[in-house]
Amino acid sequence: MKCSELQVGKKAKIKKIDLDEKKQMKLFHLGVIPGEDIICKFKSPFHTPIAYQIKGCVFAIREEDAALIEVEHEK
Amino acid sequence: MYSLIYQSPEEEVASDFVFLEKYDLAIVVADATNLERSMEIILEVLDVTDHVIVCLNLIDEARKRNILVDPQELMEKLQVPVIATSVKEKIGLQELIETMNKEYIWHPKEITHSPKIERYCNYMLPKLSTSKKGVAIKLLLDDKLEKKYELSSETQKILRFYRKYLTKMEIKESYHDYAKTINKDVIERKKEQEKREDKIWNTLFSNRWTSFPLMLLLLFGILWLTIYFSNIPSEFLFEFFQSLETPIYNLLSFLPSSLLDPLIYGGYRTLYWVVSVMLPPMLIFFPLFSLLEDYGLLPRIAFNLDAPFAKCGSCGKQSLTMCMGLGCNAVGVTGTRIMESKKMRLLSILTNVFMPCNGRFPAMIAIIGMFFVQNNTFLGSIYSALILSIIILGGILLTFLITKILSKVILKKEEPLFILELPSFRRPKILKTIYFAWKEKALHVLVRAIIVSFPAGLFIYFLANVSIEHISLLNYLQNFLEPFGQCLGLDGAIILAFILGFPANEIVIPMLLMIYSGGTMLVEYTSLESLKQIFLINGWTILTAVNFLILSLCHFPCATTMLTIKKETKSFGYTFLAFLLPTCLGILLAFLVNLLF
Repeated sequence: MKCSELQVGKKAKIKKIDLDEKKQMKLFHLGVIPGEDIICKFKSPFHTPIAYQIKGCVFAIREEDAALIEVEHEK
Repeated sequence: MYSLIYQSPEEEVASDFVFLEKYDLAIVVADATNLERSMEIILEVLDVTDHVIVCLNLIDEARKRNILVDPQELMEKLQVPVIATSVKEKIGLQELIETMNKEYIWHPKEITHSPKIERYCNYMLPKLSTSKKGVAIKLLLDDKLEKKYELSSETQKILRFYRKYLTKMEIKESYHDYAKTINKDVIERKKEQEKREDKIWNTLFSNRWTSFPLMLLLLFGILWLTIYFSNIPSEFLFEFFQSLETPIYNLLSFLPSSLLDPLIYGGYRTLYWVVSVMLPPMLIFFPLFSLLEDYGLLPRIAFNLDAPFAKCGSCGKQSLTMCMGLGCNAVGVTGTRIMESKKMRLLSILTNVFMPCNGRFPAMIAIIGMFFVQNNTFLGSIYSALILSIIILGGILLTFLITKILSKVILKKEEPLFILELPSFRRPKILKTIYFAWKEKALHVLVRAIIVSFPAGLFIYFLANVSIEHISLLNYLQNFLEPFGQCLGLDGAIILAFILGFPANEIVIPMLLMIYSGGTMLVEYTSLESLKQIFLINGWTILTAVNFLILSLCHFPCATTMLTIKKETKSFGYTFLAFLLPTCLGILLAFLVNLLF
């Protein structure tokens, strides 16, 4: 499932990140790394950007970038 | 700052310092509420120097949020002093100072890297005669360290190979993997308590029905408080300075009147006008704004406005620079550094002037108070704030429009990643915030206005009192500009005042009053209200006031801002464009308004 499709308040595990290396490095700092848990916190009134939480860090990225992050629901 | 394996300019500066400079001790201040994120930089610093103290700040906040961090365990793992602190609650600060002064046998834990990096370090470290792996790793990042070591050509060859072979990402991952082994024993996140404040604000700010009304209300609220509470101190200051005028005049009466008159009627009068009209709004606006900033509301505004800005080729962070511009455009221009994309930075710099800064909106308030509503009543101050809000919204609209147009013209293909951090809300220390806002912001702006206003007052006095064939220089200038002013529904004096206000926008209205009164400002007035009479005598109508407001919003940035733009863009072309763009737009708008009404 795409990360951008994650519903508000739901939690998932990051599987794969399909962004170029430069962008991936930037997301790395925020903890966007395969294997980490990600929670969708809230969306802007325009549906993009979307706020996510990983560990103690809340950040927002745009929908189109979030669509390139593959996640998987916790079983 | 999250890593010495840098990506941003500030990280590069920090990285260079840690690797290249000499220091006794490195203190890594980590956020205890989000230690996972700081762990990598802690390890990176440990990999460079032995002398490290780790400071776990915001420990009280972490406890509140049910995040258990174990400093003792972290100390075991790293073998360096770890101190839990809270600056707000004054926890651990004494301990930190004591630790800094203590003698230590520094022997921190060695970091194990990925096999690939270990192999590289095994090869490289003997050549560098150091045991710190970080030094070898820095050699991979850039060649700044290379000069320090005289590497043989063979070593250099191998270094080149590893630079290609080991990516930054792999180095980061290596630190990250090691950090993970520490994190799992040091940090325990129990069912995390989301702060109620965060929950309420986040809901309000992301809901489509409440977010925009809320933001508008905030804008209006700040402006209203500024208008309402600055009226009385303004009048008080005005009367106070005015009452000092005669005593000062008498005190200095030993001076010849050819010197004393310009000093008092030119310099002093302009000066006190600026101080009494500009100071109270500044003293109210800057702290209010700082409080909102410290509380953490601004990133939420950027979050909500990202989508519309994206449509115009920019991003939500532009709204942050606009907020700064509301305080001071020069600060707003410098503030564009928060944007990574060069193109978006340029767009923000060129449009920042459409946010009326603190040097301009008090003048707008004064004009609104004279021609549209009475400022000094409760209801009047509300109307006044409403009108000012509408003007600022107009500025925002222009910003969107011009950004959109410019983004089509400035062709730079860039697709940067938009990341906005949304830190949790933190109640600021009110008195401290007010103090710093006054000291760092208001005072700074005021001093600049004062420095400019006194000589400007003298200059105008000089212009008014030196005549050629019985017509003063001031009149020449005024008459020369008159036809142009008429086209815009204004007059020559107003145009001249705007031009003279180039060093600092604060002096536009006092300059105007000086010009109207023939350079002496010798007009009997008892209150700010009665200034209206001077304008009326000089043929002002509602239309003049409207056009004045338009031109206030849209004209060239002040001298300080222009210099800042030159510094930030490093281009005369763009600086010139920043001058031309709002000026032409203002002239066009005023011309159209004059034509239509």
